[in-house]
Amino acid sequence: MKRVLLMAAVVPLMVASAWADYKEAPMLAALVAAGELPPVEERLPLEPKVRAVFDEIGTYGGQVIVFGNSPNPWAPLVGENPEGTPTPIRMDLDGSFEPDLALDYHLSDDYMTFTLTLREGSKWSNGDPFTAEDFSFHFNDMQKAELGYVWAYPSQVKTVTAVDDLTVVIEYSEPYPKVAQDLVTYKGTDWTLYQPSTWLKQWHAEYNENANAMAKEEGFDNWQDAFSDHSTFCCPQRNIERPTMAPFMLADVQPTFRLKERNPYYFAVDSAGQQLPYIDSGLIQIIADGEARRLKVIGGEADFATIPLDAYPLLVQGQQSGNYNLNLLEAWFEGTGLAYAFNLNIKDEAKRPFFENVEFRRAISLAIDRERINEAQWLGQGTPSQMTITKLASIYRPEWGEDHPYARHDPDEANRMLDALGLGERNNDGIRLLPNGEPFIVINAFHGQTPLRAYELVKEDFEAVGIGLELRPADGSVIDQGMSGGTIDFVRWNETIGEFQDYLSSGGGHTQSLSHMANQYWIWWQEMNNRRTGASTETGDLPGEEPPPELQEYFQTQIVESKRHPYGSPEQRAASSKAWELQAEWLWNIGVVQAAPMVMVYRSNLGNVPDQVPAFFEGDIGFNLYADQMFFKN
Amino acid sequence: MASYIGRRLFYMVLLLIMLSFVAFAVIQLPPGDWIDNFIYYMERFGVTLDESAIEALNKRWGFKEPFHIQYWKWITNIIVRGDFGESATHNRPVAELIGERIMLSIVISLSTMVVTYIIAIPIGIYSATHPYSVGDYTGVVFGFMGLATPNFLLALILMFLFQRYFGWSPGGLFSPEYLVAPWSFAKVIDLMKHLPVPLFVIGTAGTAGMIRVLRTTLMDELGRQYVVTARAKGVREGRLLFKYPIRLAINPMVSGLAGLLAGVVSGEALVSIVLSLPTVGPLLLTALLEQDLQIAASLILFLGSLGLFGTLISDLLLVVVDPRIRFEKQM
Repeated sequence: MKRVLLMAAVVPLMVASAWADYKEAPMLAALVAAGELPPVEERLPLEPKVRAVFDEIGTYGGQVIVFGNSPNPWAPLVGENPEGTPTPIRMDLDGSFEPDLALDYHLSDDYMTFTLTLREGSKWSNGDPFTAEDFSFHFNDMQKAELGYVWAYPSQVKTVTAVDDLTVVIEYSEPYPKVAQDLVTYKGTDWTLYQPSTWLKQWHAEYNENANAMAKEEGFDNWQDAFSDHSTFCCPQRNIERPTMAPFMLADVQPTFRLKERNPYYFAVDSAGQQLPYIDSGLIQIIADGEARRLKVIGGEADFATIPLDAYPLLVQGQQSGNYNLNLLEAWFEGTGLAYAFNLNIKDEAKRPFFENVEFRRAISLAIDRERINEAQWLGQGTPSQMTITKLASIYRPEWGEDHPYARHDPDEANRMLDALGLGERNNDGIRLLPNGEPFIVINAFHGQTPLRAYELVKEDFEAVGIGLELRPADGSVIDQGMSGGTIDFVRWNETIGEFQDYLSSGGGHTQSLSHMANQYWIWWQEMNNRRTGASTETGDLPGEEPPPELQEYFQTQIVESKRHPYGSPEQRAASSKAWELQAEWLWNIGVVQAAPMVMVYRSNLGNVPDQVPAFFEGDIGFNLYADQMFFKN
Repeated sequence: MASYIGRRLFYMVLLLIMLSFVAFAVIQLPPGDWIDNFIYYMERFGVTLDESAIEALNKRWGFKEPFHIQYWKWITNIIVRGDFGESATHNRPVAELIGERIMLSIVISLSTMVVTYIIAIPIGIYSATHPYSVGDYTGVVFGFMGLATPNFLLALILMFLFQRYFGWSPGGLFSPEYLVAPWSFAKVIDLMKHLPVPLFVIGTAGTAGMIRVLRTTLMDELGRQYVVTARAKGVREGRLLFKYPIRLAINPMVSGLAGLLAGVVSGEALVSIVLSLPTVGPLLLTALLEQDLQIAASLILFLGSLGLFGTLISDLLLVVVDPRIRFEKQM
């Protein structure tokens, strides 16, 4: 604490003298000259964040054009999605942490108290001060008072206190070592950590005596309804006026586009003292159809986009006329690989013993021709692999992935194993018969198109060993229900799992597939664990079904052990490795291909574009973090 | 006549009530709701929603409430306040979403209709007057090709060709640089560049059917005795053709008005999605896919009512317009 206070006192003086004057975009300078905006020194915090740029100091101007597929907030570079909204702490491409929106942070040695020190004078995009009150208001007046629209703090948070304008103290009810790791993700944004309290208080009767009258005027029954309405941030953003801390703010919403404009109060500058962002505005064109979007990207209409690898040849052809650069990204994207899970809790009693039998899963794994699928769907650029953590992870071992004993293609051995499991009988089509005489046909529900070619090849591989596979297109929620309800046999799961991602998620990453595809086991284990920690006070029989010992061990290692220690510590790495060893041994998920690159398309004169995304993002939205320093070279 | 209209209106109200109920129920039939969909969607993005977030969404949208309560809230809001509710996907009032799309839907549908008529009527007449000739077969072949090619595929191909050879930005109604800009001459030119593809694509689909109908009815009429008589009396061929048989042959097009009213608003959903046209059709389609209850139910109710009104209007019009029907009633 002492160190923080000292820094807060000394550094602003130093910095303020280093830059007598900050520079701002011409469009803002014009507004200042017209008296519509305070001068840049007053808009920036006393000590702005000095953003280290990738390549060069940029110049102001230009509009960046990107595509979104729906009205939801997720769009590359300038979306309203929380990923890319400034967080108190930021994770750099090399995995290091540094304060960003906050000036400093400190986690007590017992992992029980977390202190954030904010930048003095930082402001929301409408000019409201950004203070510790924004955090405590969110927790006390909204979450605890059950008022408005809240994506709550984690349940371990006990109190959130604004000690003074610039100091937030968060206390936990149990040790919470991953708070910094949490806060670099969407959990550190204006969706889940802080709220524009000054703006929201207008509709709160305790802070504004005219709130009721104002609510009536706006057509609401009472102030609570008006408050709820204005506090709704998701999805998509409801009020254009809702202030933001992000580099771009919403300026217009239409059926075909969303327009973003620079935030005049953005808290960061480059090392030459120019206020960021460099780019004036962003245009998100909403193109619902994937093929049409692809066509437009190939035609060079997007300043920035990411596209699955199969479009690469066409993109190369269009590169000259389209005036864009291409970069193959190695990262954790949707569509950069393929893995499957059998439903361990399937309702069909004839199939269930097989799905639960590791020998059956191994046989299926041997039946899949990963090389062929990699060639056909990913132009040979992916890595044929068993399902495991991405090969880019520090704890990755080849014997979990590429060199896994059951990651080779050996249909003869697969046939022998299936025969030995009592599936020797076949019908006239060559499909094996279940003990009850029914043909063994696996229902594979899928959502969306990519990677369709791979799905069809997997089907052929299944059929080559006498197991039928029925590809059934279905909607997300239908698949969701079918998995937990035990009516869908086989589902494609996340294939390329990042190390950081794996650590962060309590039920996500690899566990995500098990929580759905072994739903009864998961329910049982979760409730058992909650009772053990005191999070649940229920008594009586546990719901669901008791998982086999190896699965219990997996849940224990992955959900409990690996989260007890900070990210990157030897204990955490050991626990995480243990969990992946268990997966390699028991093959709850069957991998096909992982870590295929994604194609990144960006305008030739767009500067300061990173060639990687930070480790915790799955989609191209990770680039949103760097939109404030991208610029158009002349 | 008044009691006839009154009876029709009474049945219409009954039908509307049933329609609203069915519209609301059908959408809830598949398992899950919009929130389940959203959770699934977020998981694919690598975001696992906490219980609290899911609870916040459930509280906000109330999808987990029993069916009759949801229905009652929805329908009373519509009747009492004219409030169609809010869309979960768009997080905005449904009326606003439909409102901002309806004009464009009508403009595109009406102009494609004009295109369809311009193409179909001359070809139909030519085919009927020159049956089994080279021209007839050519027209028929092109018509059937238009009917047989899936519209969205045709749209994609055309978009590609226009982009490749004319350098025109495919899809949408404006190039990005004019999207936000205020109206100007250049913006109108830009709009003109974007219109041919949707008009042609949506237009061709209707052409084939219309050519066939026109050709068949017209050929029927041309064989009638009154035509032979007129011709025998020396009426000029052109005058003969346009004075009677064509007027009769166009009748089925007029009675098609019933479906037109709803069709004009909903438009061609698939083509509009491929071409990124902000019309009502795609709104309904995506709402159904994403189980956005409020949009889907409200739109189905809205389009259904338009259909009912259309039928009413076309029935009344037929009574007024067609002497045969009018006289039949009097007898």
